[in-house]
Amino acid sequence: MNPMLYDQRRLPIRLFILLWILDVAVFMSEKAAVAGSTFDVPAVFYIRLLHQPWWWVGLAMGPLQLWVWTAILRRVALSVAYPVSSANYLLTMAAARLVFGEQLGWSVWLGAVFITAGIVLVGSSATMHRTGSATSLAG
Amino acid sequence: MMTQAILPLALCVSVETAEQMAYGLAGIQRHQRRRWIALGISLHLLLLALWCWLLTLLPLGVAVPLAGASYLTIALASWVILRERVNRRCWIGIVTIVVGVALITSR
Repeated sequence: MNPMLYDQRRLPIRLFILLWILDVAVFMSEKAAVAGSTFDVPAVFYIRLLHQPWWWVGLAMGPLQLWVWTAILRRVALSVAYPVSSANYLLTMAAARLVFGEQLGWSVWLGAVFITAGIVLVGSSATMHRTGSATSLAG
Repeated sequence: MMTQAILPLALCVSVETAEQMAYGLAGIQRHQRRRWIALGISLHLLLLALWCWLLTLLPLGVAVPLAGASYLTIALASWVILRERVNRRCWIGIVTIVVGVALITSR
C-alpha cells in the first residue's frame, strides 16, 4: 500500500489502546502459564504447559492481536505503527509490577526506557521490513 | 539466574530475527513467497516454545524489554540479508538499544 494514501494526522488511538491491552494480556497469560514450572525436563515442561488454561487464553488472543495490528497497518504506515505500539513494553512492566508484584530495579526501568526509545528510532526510520506479525514478541 | 537466561534469550532473539527475515524475503522473492511464509510461521511456533522457557528464568518485566533487543538484530539482519539501507536515525536507535540492554543486564 502506498504510504502516501494514509492520513497521518489521524492516529487510530482506539485500535492502539486495544493492541496495547492485548499485548499486555498475552504476556501476562504466558507468564501465568509458566508460573511455578521449571525447565529441568523440557518434555515435562511443555506437556504441563499445554495443560495450563492461561496458555490457551494467551494463544487465543493471538489471532485477535493480529487482526488489530492489520487494522492499524491499514490506517498508518509501519514507521508510525512500530513506535506507537512499542509502549507495550513499559505497560507490561507496570502490569507485572501491579499484578505479579515484580520488584524491578531502577536499572531495569531505565534500561527499558532506553530500549523503547531505541525501538522508536529504529521503527520510525522505516528500515524495518516486518510484515505485521503482531503475534511476535516485539509486538 | 541471569546467566542461565543467556541461552534462551539468545535463541529467542535469533529465532525472532530469522522469522522476520523469512517474512522480508517473502516480500522480495515473490515466486517462493509461500515457502518463506511457512518458514516464518514455523519459526514463530519455535519462538513461542523458547519464550516460555525464558519466562521460567526471568521476571516478565525483565524478559519483555530484553526480548525487544531483537529490533536491533532485525535491523542489522535487514541491512546484511535484505540489503536495506540503514540511515543515521536507525544507527542511533541501535546504539540506544545496546545501552538499554547493558543497563538491564548490569544488575
